Amino acid sequence: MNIAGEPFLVLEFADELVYLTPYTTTLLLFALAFTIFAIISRPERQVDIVFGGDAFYAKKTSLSEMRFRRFMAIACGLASMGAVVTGDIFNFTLFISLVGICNVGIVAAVKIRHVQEAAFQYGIVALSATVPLFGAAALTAATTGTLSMIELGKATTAAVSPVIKALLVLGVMGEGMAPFYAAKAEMFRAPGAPYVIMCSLSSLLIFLRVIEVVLVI
Amino acid sequence: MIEYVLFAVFFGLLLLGIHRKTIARIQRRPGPPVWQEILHMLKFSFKSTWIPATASGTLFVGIVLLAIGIWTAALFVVLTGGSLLIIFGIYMLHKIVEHGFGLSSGSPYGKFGGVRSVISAASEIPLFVTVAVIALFTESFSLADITAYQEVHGPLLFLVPLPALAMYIVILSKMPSSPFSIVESKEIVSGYKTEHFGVWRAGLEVTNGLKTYVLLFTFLAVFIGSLPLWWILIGMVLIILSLSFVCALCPMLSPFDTVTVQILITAIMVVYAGILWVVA
Amino acid sequence: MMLSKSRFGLLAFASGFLIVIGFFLEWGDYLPFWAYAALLVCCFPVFTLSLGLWWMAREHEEDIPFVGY
Repeated sequence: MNIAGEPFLVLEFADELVYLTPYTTTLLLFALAFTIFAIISRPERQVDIVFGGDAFYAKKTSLSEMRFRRFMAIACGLASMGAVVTGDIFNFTLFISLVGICNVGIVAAVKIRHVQEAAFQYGIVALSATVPLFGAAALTAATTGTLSMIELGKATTAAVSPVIKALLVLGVMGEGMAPFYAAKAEMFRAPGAPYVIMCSLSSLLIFLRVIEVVLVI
Repeated sequence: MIEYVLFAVFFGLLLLGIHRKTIARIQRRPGPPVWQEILHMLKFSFKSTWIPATASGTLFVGIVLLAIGIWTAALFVVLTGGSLLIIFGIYMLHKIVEHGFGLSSGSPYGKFGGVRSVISAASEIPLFVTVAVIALFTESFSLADITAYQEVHGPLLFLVPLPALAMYIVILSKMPSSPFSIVESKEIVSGYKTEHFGVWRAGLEVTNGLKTYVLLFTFLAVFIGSLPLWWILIGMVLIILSLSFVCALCPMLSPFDTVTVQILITAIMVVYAGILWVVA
Repeated sequence: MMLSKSRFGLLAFASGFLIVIGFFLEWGDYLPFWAYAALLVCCFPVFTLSLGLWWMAREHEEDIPFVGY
């Protein structure tokens, strides 16, 4: 079955594997664009209105806070790019758990109570989601003997059981909370635009990628 | 191909103009002329433009470029009969574009629009279920294969009406003044577009034109099959007219109700797809 | 912060030029279709925005966002 177009580039480094299809290339370019934005852009200063008056103030992101968040946003962008192009199930799960950590990191330096609480709760979900995530990779290796998505896509290897696929999807949902990441909405209210956008971007990208992975293997 | 891109922009905007006019006539208002949206795009390009002092400059500008870029790419994918999964991906990425528009300026209204766009993420899942159900029948994700399948077996609209309805609702949720358009509703000024004025707004209008054209084209290609261009354009106008009736007659839902309704639709679609998968 | 108007004019001209060149190259089969598509995806947004900015970019102080009536 033709899932996302034929891969037009396959790079093999021993047991590592990277492959590009039109679908993954679209996702990769999008992630790349936002990572570049995170690198070169200055953070936005969120304007808030003083309650009960017509005065307003702009929240500023301090330099040390900006440095930390920019680093986390770039790490998050790199992790989602890795998750999007990799052709290896274990690397895929590894990158996804990295996305989960970076998402918490991006808002961790913000000193606002409700943002911190949302990040903490999300962090706990992301932590517990690593069990089904890595479990799925381990079970894939145990039942089929390979982790390469190209090998798994061929009819010659043993079929991956739907339970393993469900575990993988469950793990990704836990890490990214996509599509039901309403729980993360509070995190997006943190000031400093290009960085917080990486949270939702990475969740969406890994969600789009896991669809392809589940269909291919 | 550039001529086709320009045509899609203008025809998409014309469709949005027809949409506005029809809503106005249903509500017994005279309404703007049908080419109003095209005039809007031209008007906004000739407005004094700068970047707000509090904005994150690169993102503020870059997001407009990205928005036009991804929908141009989507148009190419549709025209060359590429993978439906890419269209689905681009549609999902449009969510990030809305989010980026809203968050880049520092405006509280834009921020609310962006946050609303994130919480209504469930609205995209019916589209994926549609894609999955269609792939069950045609055994391919490529648009070319899907249209080829329909030439043999007849339109998918009659074979699987429920996914067609789901995709119709997905398109509806992206229309202006639809019951689900919480991201740009008037209590938050203009939602995510509030701070993108002048040339930035003109870029956003170009995106809207392309997006409308691509989504309606995809709907027709996936559920009716390959048609001559004239029939496609007539089909688009008919779909827009039906959407206008829904938009004119339904009140706008609150953010909470919107998310509830969207999750409900998603649940129904997932159960339907599950049943089809078990039967097949 | 923003580039000057003449820079935008140059940008609009350059991207428009690339689009036109690409159109003729693809027409004469010198350029594969995918390369032309990629060129258009990159240049069309730049052309659209820079054309308008060449016309109407404002060259002095920025303003703050809209905070209510």
